[in-house]
Amino acid sequence: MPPLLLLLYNRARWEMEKVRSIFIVEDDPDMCITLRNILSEEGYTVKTAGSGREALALASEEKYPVCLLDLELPDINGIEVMKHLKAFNPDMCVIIVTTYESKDNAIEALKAGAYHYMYIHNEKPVNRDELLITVKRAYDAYQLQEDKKRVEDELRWSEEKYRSLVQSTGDSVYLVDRNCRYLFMNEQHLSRLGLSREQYLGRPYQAFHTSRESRWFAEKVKHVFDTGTTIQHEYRDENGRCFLKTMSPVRDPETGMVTAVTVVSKDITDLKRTERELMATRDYLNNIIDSSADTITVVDMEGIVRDWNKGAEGVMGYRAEEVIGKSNRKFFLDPEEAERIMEQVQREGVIRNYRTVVLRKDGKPIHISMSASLLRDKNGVPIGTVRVSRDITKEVELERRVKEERDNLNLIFESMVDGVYAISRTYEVEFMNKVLRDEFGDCVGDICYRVFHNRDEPCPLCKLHEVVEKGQTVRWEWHSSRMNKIYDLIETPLKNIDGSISKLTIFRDITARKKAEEEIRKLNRELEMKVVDLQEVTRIKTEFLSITSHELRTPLTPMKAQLQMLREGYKGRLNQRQKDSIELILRNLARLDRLINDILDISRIEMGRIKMAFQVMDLNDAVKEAIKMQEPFARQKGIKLKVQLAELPLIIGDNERLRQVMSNLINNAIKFSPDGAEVIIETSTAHEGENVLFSVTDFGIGISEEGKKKLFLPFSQIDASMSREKGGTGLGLAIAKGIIRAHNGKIWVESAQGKGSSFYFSIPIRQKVREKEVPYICDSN
Amino acid sequence: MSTHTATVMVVDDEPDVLLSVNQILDANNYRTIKARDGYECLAKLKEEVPDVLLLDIMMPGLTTKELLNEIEKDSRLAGMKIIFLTAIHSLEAEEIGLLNSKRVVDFIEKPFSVRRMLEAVEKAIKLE
Repeated sequence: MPPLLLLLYNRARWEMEKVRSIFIVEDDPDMCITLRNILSEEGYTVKTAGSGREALALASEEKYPVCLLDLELPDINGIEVMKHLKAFNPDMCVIIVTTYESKDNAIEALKAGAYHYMYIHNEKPVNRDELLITVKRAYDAYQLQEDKKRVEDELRWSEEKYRSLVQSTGDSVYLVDRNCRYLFMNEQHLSRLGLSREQYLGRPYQAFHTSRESRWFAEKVKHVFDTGTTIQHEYRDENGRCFLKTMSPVRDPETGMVTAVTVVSKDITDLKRTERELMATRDYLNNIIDSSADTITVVDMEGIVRDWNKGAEGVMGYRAEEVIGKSNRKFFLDPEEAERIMEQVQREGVIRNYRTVVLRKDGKPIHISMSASLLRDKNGVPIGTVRVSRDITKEVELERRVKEERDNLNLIFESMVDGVYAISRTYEVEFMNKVLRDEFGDCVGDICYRVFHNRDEPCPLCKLHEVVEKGQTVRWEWHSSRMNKIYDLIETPLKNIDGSISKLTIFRDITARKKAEEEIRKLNRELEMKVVDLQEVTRIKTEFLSITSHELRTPLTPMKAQLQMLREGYKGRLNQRQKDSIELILRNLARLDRLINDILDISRIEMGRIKMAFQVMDLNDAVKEAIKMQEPFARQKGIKLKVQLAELPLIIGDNERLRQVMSNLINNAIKFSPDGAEVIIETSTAHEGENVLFSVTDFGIGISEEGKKKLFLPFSQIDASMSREKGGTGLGLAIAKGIIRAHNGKIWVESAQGKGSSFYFSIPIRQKVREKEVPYICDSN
Repeated sequence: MSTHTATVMVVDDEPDVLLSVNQILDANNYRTIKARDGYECLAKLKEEVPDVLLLDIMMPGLTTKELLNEIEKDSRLAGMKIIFLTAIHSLEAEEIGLLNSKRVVDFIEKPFSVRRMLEAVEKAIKLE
């Protein structure tokens, strides 16, 4: 039976036996009845047996504390019966009932273990008092015996229990006396010291420890002996392991004097290390919390501040010791915020970026953004809230200013004739200006595609994604077939106060403008077509000219060659009249050739396709050549050529073409001069050296104002008769003008009718050929 | 009239021009070879290398530019001089790149002067 159950069983049995029962073994029935009656009256439960056998049979079934035993039994000797009864119940108190005559037997019985004996006289009545006292004493003796046994049992059990505990514990447990000699040591401590039980008993502590440790230990033991109190000490051994020693006094139960000291030594090395690590972690966290610029506070469920970091001190101006243990209500501009926040944290477990206004110690209000979460104990019961707050006063101020600017912007939008609206990334209309409100009504808060486009989903052309997600500004044209209109839209990201991005759209009805543009485009296209046509015509004309030039000259070539051969006598001698005829033909052939050349030149000039061989040149050289060419003609008419050439800077020009121009001008001058007159040919620099100037002056008939206007137009000899008379083609001045203009120069005439004419041209002074010469394009004038 | 042993090839698609030029050259004791176009010119150049080539521009068939390129390739023709005799203006000829070659020594516009042509041929031969 397990010790605990045994104990309970004993106790139960003891309780049961408190019902006092008594066993009477007597062969004399009268005596038996007498005894039973007396005891029953006194409250005893009585069992009787008439013989030794009957007595032994009953006693084996039940345990009786007290037995009244007659020694003279018919069957078995009384002492034998008593020995058997004692065997069943060793504690049984047997009272021998005997006559005086057999007192020797009684003494015998006492020796054999009987408790007491009583004399009973056969003729006298039983002494009732004596009987009851004797029985009572026997009972008390029995009970005392039983109590003692019970206490002993319990003590044994208790000892076993403690011994088991002491031996099975992981801690070292040992007992020392005043001189630190070991009295007891558990297995744990034995193994720690590496000793057997025999090696330590009676030996002192210092036999197994250093003198330092021993001194320390002796001191503590003495303290426990002297004060009788339990002490605890941490102690580090030479291996660096840490122990918690609990030293308690052991007292003598009788004297109360301290007789020994129990030492329980617990290895707390790992515990200490964990504790150290925990401390370090806590310090680390505290450091973080303290060095945070944000305010970090802990407020319990009653709204009492429990923690307050350095950041909070900085922001709020209160020191931790001023606020810890106080209610947090007074920090809020509206004290009821405290309850609202607590209530919300409790309901939602956490709140983020809660904006509110708190008051600094100096009374200044500051805006904060608070995040808070619920703090729970290990059983999950809420014990408070941790709050992290940030001073956002500056941001709030900035927001206010941004909003102000936004309001100003809105004012501008209001007065615009263009439609302006803003939508959120969820297509919600956030703003619309007056123009739009007049058309659609106030739709702020509605979904744009529903109110503007009457659709159930976003428009396929919507630029919200480009604008809001990619941050692009988009400009596009929307052709609304439903409204038959064209809109010009500018859509751009708009950053809101809360950091979100909306799409701002400014749009304008450009239907009319587009129609006008389309009209212009159509006209342009037509014009382009015409230009293409014109270019084609020009190309064909140029080709035509080239071919014409070739084709016209081709027949002239063998004609001229054959005539020359005839004149030179290749085909035999000719008489003078034949020679004159050939000269006449050749002269007219030359005129035809000049005419062809002039027509080609003027055509090229008019088409802007005249070719120039530009080079650096001195105009005077060309003048001299031209004069040389015209001298025979002058001589023929008796004209005196008066030449005045200034020293000229170099120019860029086509030597042959300029000579052609000057030759033509000199030829005209001679042609229109009266015989024997003078023609003056001059060159100079003009306009402070910017141009070189050529002039030829005659003293002929002069030109009328009307004539001057037509002078430089093709085929414009002042009248046709003059052409025939003077033998010109009527193209010379037009060609001259084209050539001079191709040199970026100017040609003009000064004349008075009847007094003669002066023809001038000027060419800009330049000394470098331009990289790419721009072909001269003749204007229609 | 001086005596010449030099050979001149005349290339022109116009028979009357070709005839006239040949008559002039023959009368001045030049040996002449006639060609009606670029292809004939190339064929005859393979048989004989003249001292001077009197060349028209704007003929049917092979263009003058192509003809010049073929001539440039033939090393036998390195000493041959070319004189253009044409109704095309010299600036136009220059524009299509006909005047770049060193062997082109003169440019005579049609209708030409007999004296001018003979001077040009004589001058070209003397260059040799």
